[in-house]
Amino acid sequence: MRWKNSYEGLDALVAERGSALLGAAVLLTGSRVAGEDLLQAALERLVRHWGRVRGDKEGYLRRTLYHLAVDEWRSRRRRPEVLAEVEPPGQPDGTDALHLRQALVQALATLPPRQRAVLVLRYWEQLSEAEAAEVLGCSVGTVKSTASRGLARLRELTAAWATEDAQAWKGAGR
Amino acid sequence: MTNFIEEELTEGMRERVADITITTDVVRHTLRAHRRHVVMARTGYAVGAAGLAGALAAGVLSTGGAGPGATSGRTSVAGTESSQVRLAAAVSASRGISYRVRNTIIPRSQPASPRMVITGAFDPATTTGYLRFASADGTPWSEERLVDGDLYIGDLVHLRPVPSNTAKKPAPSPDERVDWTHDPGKKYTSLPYDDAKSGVLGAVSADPGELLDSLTRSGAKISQTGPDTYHFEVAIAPRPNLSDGKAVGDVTVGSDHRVAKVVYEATMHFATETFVVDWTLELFDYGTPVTVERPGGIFEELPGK
Repeated sequence: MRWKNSYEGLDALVAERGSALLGAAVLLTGSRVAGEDLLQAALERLVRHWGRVRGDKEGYLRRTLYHLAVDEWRSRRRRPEVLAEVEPPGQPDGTDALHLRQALVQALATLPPRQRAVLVLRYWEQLSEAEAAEVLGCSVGTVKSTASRGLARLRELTAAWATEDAQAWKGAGR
Repeated sequence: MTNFIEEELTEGMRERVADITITTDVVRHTLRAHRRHVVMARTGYAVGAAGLAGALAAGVLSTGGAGPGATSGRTSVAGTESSQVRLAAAVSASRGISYRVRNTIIPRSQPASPRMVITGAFDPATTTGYLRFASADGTPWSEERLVDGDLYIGDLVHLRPVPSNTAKKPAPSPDERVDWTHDPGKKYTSLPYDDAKSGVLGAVSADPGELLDSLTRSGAKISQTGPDTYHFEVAIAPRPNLSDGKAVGDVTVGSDHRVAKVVYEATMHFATETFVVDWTLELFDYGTPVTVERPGGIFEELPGK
């Protein structure tokens, strides 16, 4: 029995960066299952172009991941968007900051995918606006305006947390 | 407030994915999916392949409901029992036994309606069988062999060339001209229908138990149309990208009281398109031995082991 490996380096790439990319995919899709599907779709595209992707294969994979996430939105844009309920907390206590963070991530999943992608790139991947623009293939201005709209929407969705209460919870939870 | 929201969002994202780790199965699934897509595309069956793959991967005949499960054999079926119970008995009698299969699939909504024919056999007792995928003219493009739980997937399209000078070496056998995919670390209990997400080929089940299970579930509408024929209608459960669908068809039970033929039409509505696929599944030679040889040749090494 003879063996060959046409994808030298793929297993190492996935071993080193796969979990981080899966994390991004989960945040982009809102669930573990959908995130795995998204990452697998991106990996499949990488494999398809493996011989032609010179140099930064991780960069190609990341760009593909985000583009697929946004394209999914494009294909669904005519469908009515169902916004998930974001439940406000009860009385402030030590767990409310945690609840707020969970609610924000929950609310993130209800945003249009482009806004979601920008926010994940900026606040989870910690990329600059210019770097995020490069990943998404858009202008820095688009990243700025999309992030602004996304954050504004998150504020609306978590409006139950008034500024003063939030500050109090922040103090209590940290 | 904005800075506060940004900080909490960043921290919330970190908490959300803190425990998420990837498994090497993702790589294996990806490579299998890629190989299947390559084989399909290069054989000209790529007409609407992406959409069709999605449609079929959505799981035709999957009602998603909890069913009553298999029933006892045909001998326990009384005349007053419902059509669904009688059909369930035939399904039950068709399971756990070797069989041969021929499955003809016609994506009617695709341009030129490219026909695909799958032939194969499987013996659950020995976990041995094969599936051969071919176009309408009989040209095979892919083959799966399962030998004592060891799975081999072969690309029958891109055969290695026969050396021009075979004076010193014997000419390679047909198997040796094929690139095979094989994972020596994994044992299969059936032909790998769980690769359904990979696309059209993986989504087609030749397992009568798996395929017909949905007919015995509570959501299926079954009516008996003759002594050994049944009409059915089942809803296809919505999934990502699939809003709804249904499968309507007829089942014929053979003289051995096992399922002999299923003919049905599946209609699936996606966000941008509707797919209509005709299926004809024929099952025969129940109980006959199934013998499959392990292939020789070149084996693709799957990363992630």
